[in-house]
Amino acid sequence: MLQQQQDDEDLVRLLPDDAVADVLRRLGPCDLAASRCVSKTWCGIMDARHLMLPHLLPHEVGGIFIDFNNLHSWEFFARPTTGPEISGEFDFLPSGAESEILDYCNGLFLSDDCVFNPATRRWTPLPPRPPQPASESLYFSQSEYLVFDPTVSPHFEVFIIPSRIIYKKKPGDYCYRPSRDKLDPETEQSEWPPSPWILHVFTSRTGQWEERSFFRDGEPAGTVNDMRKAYPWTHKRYAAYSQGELYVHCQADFTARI
Amino acid sequence: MAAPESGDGNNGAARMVTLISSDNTRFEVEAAAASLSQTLQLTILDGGGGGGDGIPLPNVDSATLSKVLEYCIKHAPAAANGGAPNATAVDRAELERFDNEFVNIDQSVLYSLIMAAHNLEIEGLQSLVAKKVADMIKGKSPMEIRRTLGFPDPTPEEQAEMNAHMLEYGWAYE
Repeated sequence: MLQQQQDDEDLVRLLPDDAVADVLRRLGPCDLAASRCVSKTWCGIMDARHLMLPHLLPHEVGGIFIDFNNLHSWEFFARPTTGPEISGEFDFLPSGAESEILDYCNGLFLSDDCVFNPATRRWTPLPPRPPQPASESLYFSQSEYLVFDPTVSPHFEVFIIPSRIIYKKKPGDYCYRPSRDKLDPETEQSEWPPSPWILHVFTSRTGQWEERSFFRDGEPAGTVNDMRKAYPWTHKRYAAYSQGELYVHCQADFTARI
Repeated sequence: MAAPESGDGNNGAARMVTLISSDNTRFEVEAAAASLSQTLQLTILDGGGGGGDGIPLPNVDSATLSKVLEYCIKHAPAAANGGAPNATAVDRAELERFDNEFVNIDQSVLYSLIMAAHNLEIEGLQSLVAKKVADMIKGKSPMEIRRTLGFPDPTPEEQAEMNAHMLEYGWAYE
């Protein structure tokens, strides 16, 4: 009897991955979620074939969030009677975490401290950002962008992009401070965007920040100095994520595809 | 999947092939039935498995092979009709009854069948056994699934991993 049991145990572990996948494909979302916990092997089989993803996807637009006048007061607007109620009060977050929404992508929000989903009221903290080198911080201001595509992966990424060239006062201007405002000729003449462009990226897959290099595909938009002349203001620019590529609207109306 | 038409297909006597299990038992079966296996189909089309030669199946023991062939023989006529578009409701109900009865078996036999079905690439049998295992999983918690399917008790490490996954996918139980 014991021998028989032992044999069965070996058998279930010997089943080919494709056979297990064949079984899992026939399960609904709840049973799939339970099966995902059964063993590491099963979890791997499921993830390799993206079996879970169709069930994580929202199948319709539930509503839209609107931030009135950038007052950080979010309201959720939806057609009546559709689906669960979603609130613009992010009161499930630890206090202060909702202070500023930095970006959003496919239903997830990025704030200073965390990434959260207002529909499920779940959140995950972000580890501290890697510091920006002092020389760079005088010249470029960073923006953060959230990238999440549930059709590709259940994981999200946060990009820190030093895309804004900081406005510098000219000698003779009111409050001109050479230590802060003096232009560095070498940086001014350097190509923009640089190649490689080394960006800090957080991925929820590892839960860590990492450096990633991006290489420019094509000619630079100009020099840093050209960008400065074209548009001196440094608001955060919008970005859109589509089909594996992040499009960032930069100064001088050029769009970087990452 | 149509049964291969061999040259003597019209003279009434069905062509036979011999399959040899891992423990050296010989099974003589109609080529049309054995051809439900994608793996065997090419060999049989090439004229293999006839006469004194058999097709060796080193991964399938005789108990499993006899069960597999029982399925193939039952399903071969319907498959020969190109998925049986003109099968009567009675024929279909009979096949369904046979299928339900067929997978009402010991777990170890079921697992051996799964492996044989994948080895031999018998599409209908693959679906049938997969559906059976899926039915065994439905409505159960991860621990119950492990027990039902005969996984060994989780090590403390595996238990911790399961708990972590439960947190991540807890919504499924809400």
